[in-house]
Amino acid sequence: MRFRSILGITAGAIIALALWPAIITHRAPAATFTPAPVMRDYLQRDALVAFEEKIVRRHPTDQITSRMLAGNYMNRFREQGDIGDVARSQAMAERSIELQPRGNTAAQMALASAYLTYHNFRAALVHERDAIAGEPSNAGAWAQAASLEMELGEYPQAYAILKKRPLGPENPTWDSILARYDELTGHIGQARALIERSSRIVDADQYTPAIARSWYHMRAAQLAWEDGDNATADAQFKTMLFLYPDNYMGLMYQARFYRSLKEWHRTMAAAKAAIELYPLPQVLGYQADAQRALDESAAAERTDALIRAEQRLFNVQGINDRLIANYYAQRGVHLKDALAYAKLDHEQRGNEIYADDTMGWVLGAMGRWNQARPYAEQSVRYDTQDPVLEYHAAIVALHTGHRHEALRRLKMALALNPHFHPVYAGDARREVAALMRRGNDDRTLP
Amino acid sequence: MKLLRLIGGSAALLLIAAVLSLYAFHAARASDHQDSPTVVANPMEDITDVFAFPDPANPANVVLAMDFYPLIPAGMTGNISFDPNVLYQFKIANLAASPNEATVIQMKAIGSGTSPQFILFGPSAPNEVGTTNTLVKQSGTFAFNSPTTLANGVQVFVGPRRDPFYFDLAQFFKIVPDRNYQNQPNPPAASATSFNFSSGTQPIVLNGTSYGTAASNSCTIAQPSDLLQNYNVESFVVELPKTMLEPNGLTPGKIGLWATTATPSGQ
Repeated sequence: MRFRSILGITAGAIIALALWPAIITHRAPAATFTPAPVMRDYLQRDALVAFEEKIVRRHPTDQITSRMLAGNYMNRFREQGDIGDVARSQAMAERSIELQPRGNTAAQMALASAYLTYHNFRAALVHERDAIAGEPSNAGAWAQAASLEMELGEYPQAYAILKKRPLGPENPTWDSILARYDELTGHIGQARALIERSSRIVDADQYTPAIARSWYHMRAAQLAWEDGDNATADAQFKTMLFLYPDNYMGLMYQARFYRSLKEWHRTMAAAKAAIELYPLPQVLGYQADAQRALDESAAAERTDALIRAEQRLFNVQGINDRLIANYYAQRGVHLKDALAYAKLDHEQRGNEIYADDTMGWVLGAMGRWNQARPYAEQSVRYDTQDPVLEYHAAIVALHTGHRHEALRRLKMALALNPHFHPVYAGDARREVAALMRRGNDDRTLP
Repeated sequence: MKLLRLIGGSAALLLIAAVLSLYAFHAARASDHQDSPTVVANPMEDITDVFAFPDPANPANVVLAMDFYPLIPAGMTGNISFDPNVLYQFKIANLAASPNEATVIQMKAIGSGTSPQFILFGPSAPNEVGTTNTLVKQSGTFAFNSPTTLANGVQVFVGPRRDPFYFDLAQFFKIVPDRNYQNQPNPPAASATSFNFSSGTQPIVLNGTSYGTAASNSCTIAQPSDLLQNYNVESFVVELPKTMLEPNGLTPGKIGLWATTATPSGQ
């Protein structure tokens, strides 16, 4: 009787699990999206990490707490920007997998996140696929795999995953990856709609970590800016900081946004706030641009020196390669180093849109326009609605004798956002005017 | 050995339900932490355990306890924000009459925040039987983390408590590494064959039946580790006269007790 009872309970539980996707499919969707109170979980992060470190020390064979700790190290990295936390996360995830090699989905995903942070996308994809093999119904693992495929320029593979949407009416994680795909493949309106809906859903959940809620608003701001909707971008950046004031990545993108509008004091303020938290070369570059615009040339020189020092001392695992290459290309300095970094980035990622763009732009900055052209063509092969990509491709086209294409791309960049860059937007307008004038005189434009 | 594995396999999957007699009480064999995507995302709705036992100091009273919000790290209970949309219910059936609930006790927070007030409704007959419920008569309000006796004599408490459940979950996942039904019937191989027992002479007794010792069952002899020992839960506890569980004023016999959480959106 007891055996039958236990078997019955087990069978019932397995049936319940098997039916779970159907149950959640038919769950009534949330009727409204009322913003929930912000959970300031980040204030407890250090204490939580210390708590789990203590358990792991006490129970070295506990694979569960070690993978939870791996996840919390990554959370702390996202909140505080200590790259050492990524190494700690990697070590804890590896320990957990060693203790439980099979079915350890959470540890495999944590390890994939660490490799992703190091821009070791291929290793990350290996572990994401291990996670999927252990738990094929894990939508989060599939979404991360799609994201990694995009980082490697494998857009058809990413789409093959993303078109198999998981059951259930709401999945902000999935939709955020799908939005990235839409953004890269020329459907920015769809991308914006997905992110705005997702941000409303996560905002209605008081248990969503503050940094995650903030992230959705950062993405909404980025997409709005790319789409030329500066008022929405400004508002979304402010909401982002209300939810998590130390969002250093968000502050960096906010600095880029103000820089595009030539609002130099606000650029400085956002860049400084980001630099205090995590001085990525990209945001140091925005600060240097602002300093020059505000006639603080000595300060700008010091910032440039700091970027150079970061290049030599702190470029952990090469994660800043692209950022440094782009900044040097923009400034026209250290171009040999820029090319070396652009090549490393391209080797890491393969045929990825922004890796192609960086290669093309650096080669262009070196005057090697014919070599730049194939990369530039590849960078816009999906008609990504990013005005900077369009501008770069247009200038390369112009220098390789493709003036019709150059004119079309310059017009596209300005149509997407007339304020896409403090220097390039004005340059694009001048080039359009010049090409239009020449077009009237020359009916044989190539 | 097979029996032990089977119990291990079912333990984490069991639904929160316990059928018990107030007079011949058996320990509830159920616990559940984070076992569906919905409750993982909404820990305030995640019931971990339900308990019922006579008050040791007053056998005329019964204590009902519902634990929810699993895995609150020790020392971090002050950061838990309650959700006024969640309705917590004890449902009690008089099994001699019907398996359906004859009595409900309902509780919800007033407003959100880490230290809210609460309202208790009932105990009384439910307005409706089943999964869609409306509130019954209010019996009083009370503060967070403060044992309170209401006007109807019911004592009530909501606040953090150490998780009383014991589970060597790390070892469990080494025995049963794969809970994914899609991989059946060929799940990945286990890396352990039994739970850890601190001594070979430790007797194995299940529901009053002896199955020998850890050594005689070839179990692993190693120090077990309770994953939950460092974690807290939120507890909703009521103590009331047993007679209040029978709406007609009759003496309750064998009862069925279960607990639910619900939200207006139907989750």
